[in-house]
Amino acid sequence: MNEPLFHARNISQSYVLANGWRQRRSTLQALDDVSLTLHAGESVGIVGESGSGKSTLARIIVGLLPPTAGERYWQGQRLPDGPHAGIQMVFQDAASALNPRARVTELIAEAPRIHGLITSGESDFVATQLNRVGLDPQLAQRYPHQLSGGQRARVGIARALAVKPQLLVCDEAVAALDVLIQAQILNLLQQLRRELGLTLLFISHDLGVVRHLCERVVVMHHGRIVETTSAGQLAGLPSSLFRS
Amino acid sequence: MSVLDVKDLTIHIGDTKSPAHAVDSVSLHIERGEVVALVGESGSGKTLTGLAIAGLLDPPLRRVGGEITLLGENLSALPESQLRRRRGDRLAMVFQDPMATLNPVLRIETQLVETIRAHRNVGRNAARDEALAMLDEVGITLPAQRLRAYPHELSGGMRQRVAIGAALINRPALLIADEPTTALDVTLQAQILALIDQYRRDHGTAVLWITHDLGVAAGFADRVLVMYAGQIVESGPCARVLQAPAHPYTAALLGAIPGSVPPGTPLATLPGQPPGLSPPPEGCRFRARCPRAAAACIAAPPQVATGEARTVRCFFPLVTPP
Amino acid sequence: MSRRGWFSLILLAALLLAALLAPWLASQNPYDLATLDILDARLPPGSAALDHGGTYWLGTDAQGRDMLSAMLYGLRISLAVGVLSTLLALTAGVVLGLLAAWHGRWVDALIMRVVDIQLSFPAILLALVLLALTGPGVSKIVLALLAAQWAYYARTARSAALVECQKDYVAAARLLRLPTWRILLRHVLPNCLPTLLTVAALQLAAAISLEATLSFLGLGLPVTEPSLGLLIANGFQYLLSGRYWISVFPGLLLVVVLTCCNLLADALRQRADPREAGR
Ligand SMILES: Nc1ncnc2c1ncn2[C@@H]1O[C@H](COP(=O)(O)OP(=O)(O)O)[C@@H](O)[C@H]1O
Ligand SMILES: Nc1ncnc2c1ncn2[C@@H]1O[C@H](COP(=O)(O)OP(=O)(O)O)[C@@H](O)[C@H]1O
Ligand code: SF4
Ligand SMILES: [Mg+2]
Ligand SMILES: [Mg+2]
Repeated sequence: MNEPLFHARNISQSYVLANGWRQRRSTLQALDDVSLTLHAGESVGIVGESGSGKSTLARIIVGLLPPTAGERYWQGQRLPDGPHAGIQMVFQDAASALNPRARVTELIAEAPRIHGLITSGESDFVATQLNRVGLDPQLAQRYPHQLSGGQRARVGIARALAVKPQLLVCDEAVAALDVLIQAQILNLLQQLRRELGLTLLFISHDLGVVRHLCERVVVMHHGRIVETTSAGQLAGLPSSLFRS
Repeated sequence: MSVLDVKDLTIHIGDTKSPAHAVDSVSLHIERGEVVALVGESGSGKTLTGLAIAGLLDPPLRRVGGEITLLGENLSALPESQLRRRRGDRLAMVFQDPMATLNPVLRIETQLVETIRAHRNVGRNAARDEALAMLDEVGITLPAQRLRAYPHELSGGMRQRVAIGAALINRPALLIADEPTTALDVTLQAQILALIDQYRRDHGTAVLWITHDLGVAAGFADRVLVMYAGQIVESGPCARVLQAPAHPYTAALLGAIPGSVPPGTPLATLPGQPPGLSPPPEGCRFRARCPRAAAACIAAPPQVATGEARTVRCFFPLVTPP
Repeated sequence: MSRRGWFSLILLAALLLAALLAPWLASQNPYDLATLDILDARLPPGSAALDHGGTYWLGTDAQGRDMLSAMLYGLRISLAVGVLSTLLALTAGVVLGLLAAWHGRWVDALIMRVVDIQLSFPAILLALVLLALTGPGVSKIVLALLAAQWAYYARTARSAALVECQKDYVAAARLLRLPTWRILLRHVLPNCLPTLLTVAALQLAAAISLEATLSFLGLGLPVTEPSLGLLIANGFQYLLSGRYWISVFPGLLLVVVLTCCNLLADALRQRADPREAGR
């Protein structure tokens, strides 16, 4: 059988909470024995109410957070803690995810330059990346605060794709956007996925968005995966999962 | 008599030489017990409209025209500062950030009791009982304990409930809610919507619900006003407008919602961005992005009635009058 | 930046320039005892020199030094000591503060514990003890000021960096596998800089006044290199005999410098604080 692109096995995460002035410690089980497999080219959605552990899982998958227990595998190989070249992430709040003191060109070209991915001129490279996400290359010299919300979201996507990842994790990447801009970004993600053969892990609390973008949907509740279905069957999910 | 009647509200921002025409001739009315949703992209002028009605505009925001009638009393003649006091007990506003209403250094009890006593001649104990009842009414569990809490000791959803309770505590005739659920997740959002819905049924409160989310408006509002670049471009009963939008912009908003097309196919979007408003573009403000734009659109389209209590600001609406 | 901010910045720059150009601006080299004429001692402001045709605009001191020249040279030393020690303390504090914020855990605990201990001593006490051990001298007072001040910067840098490290752009930089030093220096530090510069402007004033205090007490710089503090001390004994200028003019200059630093700090703080930026 073909090897999955990414596999997370028996991931658990607990946070230690210090309670009040007495400093009594308690732990919060944010993830409880979660396993997830992603095949190359797949588009998988994670839905669940707020606090169900979606962001925690995303940060563990991309390697920003070492899990309390569990392992990650990349094409069958065990991954050490920490980021991996093939996995990138698009963040919810594009304003905080872009260094306010860096121009767009630096935001996009910095990492590829350091990793030796820029073979010809840097401005050509940046222009190509900007064109790919539907931005005018003239924006290269702007600072993030000089961009609209939709443009910032695109820069965040361009930055992630500039280092040629195979897996793109989007954590509520469109939640803060107006519906028209959200539609543009969803179309863009879909088009990029087709063109680049990206594997997409798309996290959202919005069932409609996930149903639109993903083939397979994972439902989380209280730190566990309670269901994995095809997107078409999502409509029939018990809505009790989203009321508590 | 309408609870609120706004005629040709116009707001400019900045100097008198080249102001931004941020809100242009907005007219609306809300009846007793009615929920009216004001919908539009961010930056379209929804918040400014709400602030102007509440009398909360501060420089550089200036109301340069329009009449605001609250419970039959024309308030436009009064200066902004007096307006605030006159409106205080008939109208209340809640914001996206509950901390815009709540004072971080005061206990919930103090804030609610003082809000009551600032407007009504009620004893301390009676006010406290009222505050307790209000917390219960807005769905706060263990209200007696929460009364003693400071705002930061509450979760985001609970804080917003308290802010709503503080707004409703003097039984206003009109509640202006500026995206109070935008920062909350779907579950909490649904709960807050249900809460407001129940409250207006019980007390006949009129509600102006400001949101950028047509989905929220759909399940909740009686009527919807669609705002674009400072103007109301379409209005009418919620169900009718969403079923058969008349203005091309409303149609675009609806077409962009995932679920409006089969999964996997591209969503309908619009080219470009809303226009700058200092000065506003000539003619129809939607012209540069409109798929139906024609030569006639170089003139500014008037707001016209299309029957069924609907209006549209377009020369070529998608729904023609019967 | 506010008009007051610009004003203090320009005035400070002018004073810095005057201090740098002191050898060319001053009519006399106050360190060269050969050029001093004891007969010109303690002349009031505006007096003419006895032998050559010059005017002592701000009077002379007990050795017949032109006060204006002495003040230019004194300003030069005061500013040099203040700026140098500020830069060194800023660098040391930033390195330690960033390290603490980034690494967390025991590194953080260790550095911040030292900072706490250091800050629980009054700065002047620490400087006094150090100078008593090392003796006077420009490099020694710079060291003493560095020791007395690095902790402020470390604490500020750490708390500013902690805030920045929570933001997603740092997470993004980590995901892009940028080297740690690059994330800290190119991403985190620039975003902490507004806060740090504000503290630096305040601490510059503190450093200059600390140096003046130490010199006034006779512990700072040698008498052969009089800073503003020493000039004030020299004139102090004549203050009550009516020869106010020997002490007061250097004192006024010191006040102007300190006020400028504080105004500048205020303007920088306002600029860094988005809630006040619009005002
Ligand atoms: N750094 C943290 N420290 C303590 N608790 C946390 C931390 N991050 C998340 N949590 C908790 O873990 C749970 C899961 O959070 P999260 O993964 O952000 O959920 P979601 O993204 O689905 O909203 C929540 O209860 C949250 O409060
Ligand atoms: N205090 C202000 N100063 C200057 N411009 C403002 C201010 N408040 C709002 N604006 C501008 O007015 C326009 C309408 O804003 P707003 O009513 O807040 O939009 P919405 O609530 O629909 O998102 C926007 O372009 C916004 O930038
Ligand atoms: S008036 Fe013309 S440009 Fe404006 S919305 Fe109607 S068709 Fe479009
Ligand atoms: Mg999350
Ligand atoms: Mg708004």
